[in-house]
Amino acid sequence: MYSCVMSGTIFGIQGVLIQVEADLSDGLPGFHMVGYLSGEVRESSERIRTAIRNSGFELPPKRVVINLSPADIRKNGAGFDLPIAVAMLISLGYIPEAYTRDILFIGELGLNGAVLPMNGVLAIVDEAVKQGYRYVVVSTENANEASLIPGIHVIGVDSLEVLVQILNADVKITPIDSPHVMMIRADQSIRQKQDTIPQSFINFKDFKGQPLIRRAMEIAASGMHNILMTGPPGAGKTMAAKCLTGILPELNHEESMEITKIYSIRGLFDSRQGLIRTRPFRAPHHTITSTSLIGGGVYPVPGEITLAHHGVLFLDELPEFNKNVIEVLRQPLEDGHVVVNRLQASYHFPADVMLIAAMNPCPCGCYPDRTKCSCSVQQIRHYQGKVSRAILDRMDLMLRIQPVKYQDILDHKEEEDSEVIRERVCRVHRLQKKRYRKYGYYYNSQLTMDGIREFCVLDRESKDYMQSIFEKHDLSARGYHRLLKLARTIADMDGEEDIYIRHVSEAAAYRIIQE
Amino acid sequence: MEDTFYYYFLTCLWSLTPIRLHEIVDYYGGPKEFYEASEKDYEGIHKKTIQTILRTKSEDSLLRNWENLRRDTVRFIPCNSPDYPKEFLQLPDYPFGIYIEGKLPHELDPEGGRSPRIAVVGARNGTTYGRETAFRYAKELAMSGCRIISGLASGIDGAAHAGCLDGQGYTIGILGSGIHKIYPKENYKLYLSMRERGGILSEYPPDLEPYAHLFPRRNRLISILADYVLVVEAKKKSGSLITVDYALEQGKTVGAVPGRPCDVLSEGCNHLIRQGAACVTDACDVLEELADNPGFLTVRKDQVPVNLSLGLAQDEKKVYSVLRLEPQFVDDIITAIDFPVWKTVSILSELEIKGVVRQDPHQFYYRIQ
Repeated sequence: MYSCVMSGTIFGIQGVLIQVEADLSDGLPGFHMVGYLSGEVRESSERIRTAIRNSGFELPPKRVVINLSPADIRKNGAGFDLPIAVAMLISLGYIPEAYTRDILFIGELGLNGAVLPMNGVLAIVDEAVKQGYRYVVVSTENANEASLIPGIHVIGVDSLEVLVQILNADVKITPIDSPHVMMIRADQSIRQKQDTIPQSFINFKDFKGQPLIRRAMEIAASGMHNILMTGPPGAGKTMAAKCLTGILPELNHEESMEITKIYSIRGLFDSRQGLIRTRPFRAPHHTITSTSLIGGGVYPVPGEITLAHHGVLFLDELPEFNKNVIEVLRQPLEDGHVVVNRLQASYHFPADVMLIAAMNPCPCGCYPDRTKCSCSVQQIRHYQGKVSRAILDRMDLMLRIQPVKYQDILDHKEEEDSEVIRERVCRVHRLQKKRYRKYGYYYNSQLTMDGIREFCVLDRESKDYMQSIFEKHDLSARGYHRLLKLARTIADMDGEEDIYIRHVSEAAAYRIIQE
Repeated sequence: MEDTFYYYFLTCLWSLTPIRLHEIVDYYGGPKEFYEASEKDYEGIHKKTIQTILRTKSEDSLLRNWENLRRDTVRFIPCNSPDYPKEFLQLPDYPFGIYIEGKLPHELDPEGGRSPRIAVVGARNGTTYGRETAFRYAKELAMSGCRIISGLASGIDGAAHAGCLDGQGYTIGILGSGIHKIYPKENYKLYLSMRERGGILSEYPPDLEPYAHLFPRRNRLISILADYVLVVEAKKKSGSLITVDYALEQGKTVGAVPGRPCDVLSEGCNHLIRQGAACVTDACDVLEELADNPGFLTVRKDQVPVNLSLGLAQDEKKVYSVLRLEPQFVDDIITAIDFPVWKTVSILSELEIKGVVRQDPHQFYYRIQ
């Protein structure tokens, strides 16, 4: 007898719905699965049959054929166990077929019939809602996550046996009250219950002295510009980077949903906390490979740069990274997304990050303090040369950072609170979003050529000034445009419509490094 | 074989010390005789030296490079040529030939007079302050009509050459390697402009790689060519002091720029002053010393630029007054002035464009005197 139910899988960071068909017929007993399956899906046949038997259902010696369609998408992951089992049970007559229409099944099975959680439920459910599905059955652990998507009824079950019981009554009408079932109705979406999550950043209040870094961090946060910090060990590079996340505005709902989906796919998401509200801060170690940085694998999964989407990617000790690892960042930093190509398909991963990099100025770290540093000029040159021009060119603010002075540590002078700075940053963000709403980008750092022409207008005086900077420092075209974008952000912070000399000159102090 | 070839051959024996080479050549009675001597004639010479001579003689590259030299932009001047600098002949171990690109200083001097030549030397890893000083003094001396001689090394040497070129003067660099193997590489740009507007000199064949032990040897050429040796920054044990030793032997005047007693890079200079070297705190000090010599073309003291008012605005003056001659981190400048951060930073940036302030390294600012 033929039956079919719906399930889903992940393609890149996108959910895709998959139809699971089962057919039981007379003939030589056997279990066949088709539909472009990966190893872990193929293995599921043993799991499913054992789980069905251990849940108290009889499996007659019949020829079973399972098909997962569409056949041109490679299916991987263990999430098809549950839908295959349900489809077989329908064919065997344990579940009335009419009651399973309009329901999506996602879950892995244990040999004892337990329904287990899996990664990426959020993206699949999101896709299901878009396609008009109203019910989803997942494991109880996944129920909260699935309910983050508004407009769908979530039924969390902990075993196959319980699922068959409740499917025998029409779940769409009868509410169930059982300790084994977690039912979340569409109108009870967990989303509304959430408060702001406790944050784990360092407050700028505790960041003593170092006025240049404070100012530069605020500029970077306001326009989402990339930063490179150079300074000796212990000068506060890492601390400055951690402070920065505290002054970035909260994510809006769309951004939040986008990031939560990515984290769900990578299995890094705790559904009890609801959607991810704070901007991500990813600090991969310098031994990272290029694949894990930008994403990849046989079935491409997003890498660190995508996990830092809409947030901060912090690369500490930049010259210690493998050279080709840094170089792969060139294209994503310009385009804001990563394309991973495979023979069958190409995968787009969003990667709109603010890059914060930190490095020592020389192998010992103390240059230019010649009383401590004894590195030769060649050594210093070699060390700094590990970071290519191409990457340096993509850095908007290049900052020196020197250790805090003893007086500054002792000084009880009140430094500004992160909350106050964040208020100002939010204002500048709103201003930019309003200005660029028709153009498909949000921040000054994302300005296109046309955008620069339209929004970075210089008056006569500052045009002349820009020309003298250009000639004196021998700028490249990219350098010139990056400088303009940075000046735009500084003018925005100043509340000015036009860019004046003071904005350009301040930007030049951060942007331009001469030989 | 023409006569010049034998002198060329002698320069290829760079691995022998020049004084030893002179002894051997004198023994044979001339370069030609020395070249044509056969193995058994080399009696009484150390075995290793004979091996070097025979190997150099039999190498294919000896003739090939000789042929290449004809097509090269590098000129070879043997010591018997009238173009050969007379000063070198005062040395007991003068080079048998020199390679030159650009012009030699005496070729530019008019009949019957000559411009004073000043060697500016100092540490390779000098401070920013030292490099700025060398640059400024060289520029001012060049503008007064002096020629600047140095060793085209990194640090003080390079700054002196650059300063001289900036003052539209003539400068010559004396290398410790072949002319086609400029060392260090960072001075390649400088080399290109010196080739056009000054000179590059070496006693070694053009393709010789840099060897550390050959560098001190060329210092004798720097000092003999100069009338005055100015040391800008030097450690207690420094190559610059070798130049000074040669200069004193050769009877040249030595001057040094004083530094703070605690500075490692000033120890050498302060030591020289204690021993009687002229204490130079201004380019004019050097010019005055030279003015006594009647043989020189008159130097134009009035050409030295006087720092007039810089024409800065009120706020700019305030920032400028905080700056020092040594680089200072921008945070310290910000804390010293009660301006908001953006204001100090943008004023520093504007002062830099005006050319009165520089950074080295990035975001360490200092003023130019």
